[in-house]
Amino acid sequence: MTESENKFLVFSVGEDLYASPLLSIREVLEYQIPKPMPNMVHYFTGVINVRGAIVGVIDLRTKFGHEAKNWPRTPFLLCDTARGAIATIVDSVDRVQTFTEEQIERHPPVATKIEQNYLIGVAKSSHELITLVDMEKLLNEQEYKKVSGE
Amino acid sequence: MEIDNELLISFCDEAMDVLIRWERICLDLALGFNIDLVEELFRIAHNIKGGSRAVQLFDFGNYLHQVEDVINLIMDGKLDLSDPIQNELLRSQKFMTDWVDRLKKGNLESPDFMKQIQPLALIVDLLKPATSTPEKNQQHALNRESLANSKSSGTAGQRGDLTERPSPLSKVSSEAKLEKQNSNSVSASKNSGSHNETIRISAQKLDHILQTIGELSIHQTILFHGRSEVSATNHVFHKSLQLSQKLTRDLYDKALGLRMQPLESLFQRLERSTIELSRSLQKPIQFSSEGSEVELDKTVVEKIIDPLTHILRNAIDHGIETPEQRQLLNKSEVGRIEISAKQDTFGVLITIQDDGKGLDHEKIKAKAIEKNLLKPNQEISTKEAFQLIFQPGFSTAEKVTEVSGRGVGMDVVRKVLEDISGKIEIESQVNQGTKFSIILPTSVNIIEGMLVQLHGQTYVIPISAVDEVINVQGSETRRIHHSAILPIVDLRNLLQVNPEFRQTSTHDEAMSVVICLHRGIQIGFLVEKILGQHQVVIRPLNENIESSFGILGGTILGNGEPGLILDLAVLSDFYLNRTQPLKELA
Repeated sequence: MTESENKFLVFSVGEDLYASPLLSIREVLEYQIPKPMPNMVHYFTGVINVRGAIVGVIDLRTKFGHEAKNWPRTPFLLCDTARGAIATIVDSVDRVQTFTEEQIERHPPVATKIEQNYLIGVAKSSHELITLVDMEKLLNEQEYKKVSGE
Repeated sequence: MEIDNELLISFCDEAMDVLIRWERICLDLALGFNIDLVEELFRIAHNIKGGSRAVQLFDFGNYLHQVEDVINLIMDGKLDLSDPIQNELLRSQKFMTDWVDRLKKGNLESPDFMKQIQPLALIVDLLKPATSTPEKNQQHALNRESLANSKSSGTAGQRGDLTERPSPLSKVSSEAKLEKQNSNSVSASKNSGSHNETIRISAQKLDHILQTIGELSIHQTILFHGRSEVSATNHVFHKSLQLSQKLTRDLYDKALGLRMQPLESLFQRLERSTIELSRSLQKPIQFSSEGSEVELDKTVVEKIIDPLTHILRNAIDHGIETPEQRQLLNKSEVGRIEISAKQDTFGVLITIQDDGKGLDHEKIKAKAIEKNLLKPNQEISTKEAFQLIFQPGFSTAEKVTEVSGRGVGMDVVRKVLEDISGKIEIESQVNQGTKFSIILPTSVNIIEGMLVQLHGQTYVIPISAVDEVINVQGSETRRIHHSAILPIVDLRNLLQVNPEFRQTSTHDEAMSVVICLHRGIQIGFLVEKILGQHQVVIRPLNENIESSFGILGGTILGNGEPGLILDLAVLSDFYLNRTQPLKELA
């Protein structure tokens, strides 16, 4: 892994700390109220205007099983995926941090709130445990449409 | 084969340009012989030959060499420019265009050009020995074998006498001199063809610029909307904001204009089809066009080629009568096809008009009844009858011919036009002719939209999908409208949003119903409010959200918020499918 591949953006969702490879995040956006999009899964909050492009918004809080708060002015992370950009709502953006391979536990024995297929591992930093999430996989695997019949 | 890609691309682009000119010359030659045009054709052939060898496309060069030989014979007066020869020249243009197309896509393999050369080679071989002594026998053999349809064996003989005439190019002794002449004349013809100098830009670069300007204009709109929050006394600010608003709009319009192209090439293509078809069907036709300078978005032009060609072919094949029939009807033996384009504020109107037998609405009705598209005693207006020909599975042609009726029907024509928010109308008089009017938006990306409110949010419905709008009470689920039961569907039930967005309204509130006609059934969609009508720019949605149910696309609204464009056809289908079991019970 090169220097830049080891850099992660640390953010918080609920009480927990998460981090994603810095390269998978295009930018941090200012909060704007998403416009609802009908017939989508509950954690798909809506769409926003990112400089003329219409981008979907995923609420990582509901997605990761935390309680959804009603519109606190939190930042969006704009991420690139193979199927286009998508924004995610997090509670706060903390810092950029480099994790060495030794710090990362690839197969953590503890159960995390997120699914294995987009879990990179868990990193230890001083006294914190940070869950490393492969944002691209997480966002790419999703089918946001609600299954019909609901 | 190693070829410098840059060189190859520039060869392809230049070849495409001159091949369009080639087609034009062939079409003009169809109207009468003109030695200047034949010479220009020769120069074009010679130029492409040179160019193709420079990029090591030797097969291409060899093929052109053969074509050059034929043109040379025409220039020397040894070969009559009869219809079959003209067809051969047009066919070689098509062949080369396809070839270049393949090269452009990176396919360097040569097509089977030997087969294409054969008729040309035959002509040349037959005439070559005649260079010194023109012999009538050979002329006859030629006429018999390769020019089976030629009607001018006599003139071919006459032309033979002209062999002694000094060839117009015989004075040109050195290749270099010829080359020089070429470059001059080609640039001259380019200048006469279009009044402005042009440069070639990749469509991708252009789209990037357009996108950026699109963004700019959105932010401009947002700024402009926010102007009320700035102190009203700051005149400099307001003035400069207003000016920049105007400039941005100008810039956006001009940028959109960059994608526009004149209809000239499309019209030329139609003219060519007319000539080819008129020859193969033995129906003499006079073609005229007007308004070829009118411009349309590149995508629109590309999309309407097939529908227009289909209409044209129909008009020639089924519309225009044979010369004998026309004589009986006291019509000129020569049929007429007129094509015109006109720009107005709503878009571009293209018409294709013939003076053939016209549409017989009784016949259409009978056909529609036979095809179960109409009930036997149903009364319909002439206009409605004409609309029937756009129904799938409808074709008035008594027999399927090779020319038209190869599966592509008028229903496909209408579908393609509707896809680009176009409309088609028919006027027709028996024995007078038929006129097809096609109304197109200048650009595909802009649609006229109706802004409606659902769950307190703004959505866009394309005006083209709206049949009518009526006011109702929120509690109504159906009503009698135009003496039929109009089902009223609450769009909010079809388009469900997360609870935090949901807004409850009392059922007695006054609301509006947008009525759309879908598969012949009127369906009313209940919305909270009609907010207005606006031109909106359609923006593609990312792949991860594009296939959402009932959503056609997105747009950025005047206040900078994203807006979703509804697909009423999908929503109607969903409603109809869902209510099917109920209908069966009833």
